[in-house]
Amino acid sequence: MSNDSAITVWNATDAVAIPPGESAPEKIVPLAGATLSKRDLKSIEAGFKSESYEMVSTFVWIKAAAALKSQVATLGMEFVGEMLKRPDLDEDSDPSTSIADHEVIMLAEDLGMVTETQGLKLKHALELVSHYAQLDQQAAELDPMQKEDAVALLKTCVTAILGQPRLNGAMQFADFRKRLGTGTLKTDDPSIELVRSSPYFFVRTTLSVLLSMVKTAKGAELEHALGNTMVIVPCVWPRLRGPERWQVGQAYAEVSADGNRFASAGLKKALLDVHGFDYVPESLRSNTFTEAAARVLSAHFAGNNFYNEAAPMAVLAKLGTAIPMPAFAKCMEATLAVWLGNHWGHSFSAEQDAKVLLDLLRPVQWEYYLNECLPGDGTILAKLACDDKPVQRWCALIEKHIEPGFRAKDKAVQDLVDATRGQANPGMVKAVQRRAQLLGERARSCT
Amino acid sequence: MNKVFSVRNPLQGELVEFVRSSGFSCPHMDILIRDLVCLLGNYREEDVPLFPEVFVMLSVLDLKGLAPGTERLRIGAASLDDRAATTILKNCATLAVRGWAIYVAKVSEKTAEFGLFRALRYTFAAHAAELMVQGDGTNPAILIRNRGYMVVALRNARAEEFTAAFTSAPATESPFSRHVTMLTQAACSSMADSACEPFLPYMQRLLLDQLQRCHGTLLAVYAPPTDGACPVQFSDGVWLSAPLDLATAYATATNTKNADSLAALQANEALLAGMLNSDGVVVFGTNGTVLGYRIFLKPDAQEKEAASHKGGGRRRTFELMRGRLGTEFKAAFCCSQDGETECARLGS
Repeated sequence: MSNDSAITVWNATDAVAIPPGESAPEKIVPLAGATLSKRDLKSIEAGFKSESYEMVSTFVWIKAAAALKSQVATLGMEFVGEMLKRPDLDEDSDPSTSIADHEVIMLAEDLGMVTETQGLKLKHALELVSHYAQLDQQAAELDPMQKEDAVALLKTCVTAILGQPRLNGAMQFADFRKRLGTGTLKTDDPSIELVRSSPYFFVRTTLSVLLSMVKTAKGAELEHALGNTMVIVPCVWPRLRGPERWQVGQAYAEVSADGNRFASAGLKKALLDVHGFDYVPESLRSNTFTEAAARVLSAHFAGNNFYNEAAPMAVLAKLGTAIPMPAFAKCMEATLAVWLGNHWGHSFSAEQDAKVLLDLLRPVQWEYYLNECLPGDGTILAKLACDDKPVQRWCALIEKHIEPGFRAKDKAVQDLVDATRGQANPGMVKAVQRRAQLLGERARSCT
Repeated sequence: MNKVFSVRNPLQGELVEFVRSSGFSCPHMDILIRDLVCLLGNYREEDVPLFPEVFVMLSVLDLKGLAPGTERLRIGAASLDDRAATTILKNCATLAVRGWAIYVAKVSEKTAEFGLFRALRYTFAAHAAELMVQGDGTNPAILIRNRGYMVVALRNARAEEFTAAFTSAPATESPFSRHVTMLTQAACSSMADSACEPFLPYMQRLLLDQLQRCHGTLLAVYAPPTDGACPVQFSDGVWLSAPLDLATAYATATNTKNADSLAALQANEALLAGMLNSDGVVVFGTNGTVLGYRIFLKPDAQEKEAASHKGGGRRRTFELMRGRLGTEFKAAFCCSQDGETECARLGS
């Protein structure tokens, strides 16, 4: 590829600026005119005037999530499935119903559609809306949503999503993706060094782009995607963590099962170059586990989660602890999300099944999770970085399951575990939160 | 003067160069490969002929490269001595059917692990024999399989072949695979390139497998009539009112990837196997369909006069079909009961 089409890391920018002190809904709402109809804008203003803050927040959130999903879907639902490690998604999947709200926020962050701070605020907005949606009548009467909360949610949604007709980050990313399918890099191309030294989320996303193309593209696009895979995989392999290495092995198994001989040959070559056959699964059962885990996470992040996550968690627990390695990270993310709960607590009805699964994990599986999965587990790190209750339950979990002599490969993970063990320390929660935040930030930095 | 002769030493002498160029350098593996080749020439259990595919490799881990995402059934370990090949085939050959194949992987200097693995996950998946091929042969592996009566073919990761014929016929490569390829190409000749490209290797593999297990058959390729009506010359037989559309079933299965479409494809394959085991000619279309079976061709007066009086009925029918190439058929194929094949294709 020529220099003018060199690979660059995409960035998200704040396209809509709202003064920090602005709190008047009537000043903020018109900025959403880029994506919402006049009727919608009037309804939002009317909601604020009538002090129906829960109702108006839910409406704004639904509109923002739908807009974000529709923008993400323009990149192709097959690709979205690869990014989310959701084999159940294909080009015919409906983005509005098949992508969960929490998933679209994570995707938008990874694709540079929203900034990290916007992503954090959007996650809070989702939790807030979900919480108020599940309150019973009495609780809703006693503890209504405050105007400040509703305004903050509105500002977040307008700044990050509703104020922009087309997210700049999405266009940058689409351009990057197109380049990987229209030209083949050479091993001495400067772009290779750039990919090698980029933040981990960039490497992970690049890998997902390539594997998605290898699975679905045809003709010249497939040839370029395979050529780039054979160059990029060996270059980033030493940096790849377990889940991403399994992702490559799983893709090889899938294209072979689909009878895609050309793609199989290319991926086999890439795996041979890195001696990566250890990461090729011995069965495709992992898809069953991955789909079950995705259902748990969808229930966890949706409304009425404390009730709704029990059934999918029971299904996941019944699949057993012989979790195929390509699905392990996702299953742990889902189970820990249920176990840790959120700002308001955790699901009593799902807790038992999560506990059964966690109790049956072998020490080696815990070590794999801490060393290979946790540094890239945005869901769990966000819980540990922001909320007190999940941190307290995390401490109990680490105390119970992690051997005192455990030494993490990664110093940042070890720091988190050490902070967790300082339960007698009154500042323990803050210490854990700080270290989880650092781990999360590091995934997006170049170090 | 009494004299005894065995192919043991001459075969080993011939094989060793191929085995070395395949990336194997262990003398114990040489012996195992030689013995497997000899046994597979005409392998039988309870007098039933068996055609297992045996993959020999240097590490069990290499199996993941050959058959990613598929099950493996470890049967045992064998000392790499004169009895190893017999032990392996005795324990595994009857199980190596319907996508299962035998693997033998060296685990120590004088021991090999053996068992079964899914060389073909689904009927339309890429086969381990295809995934084995790697231009530089980095991961050594040898596939040993029967390719006709007393003929065994070996293939390595560089796609190089070695054919061992335990007959007095002049040494040639096994024509079985080449003849099936000729027939398959004719049977897909009117398909669009995009549909033909993935379907052709599937059809070829299906026919190779099914023809190896049938008791001899005659196949022909005929351009499907536009009105679907049975041509008069095929009236003595079963002309399908709705052709068996393997190409569409294959395309549906690979596109939808669901259990129903896979079951439909396998159901079509079962019907084809039954047709191949029937008497008469099986007639394929040029578009990946089967048009009819149990069709008995009758020579006209001129053909009767020109016909050879040598050979059996199947041979004479094949000659009849060969004579009608161009005017009626696009290709004709004959497989005798003892596994010998012949194929004639228009323009070849």
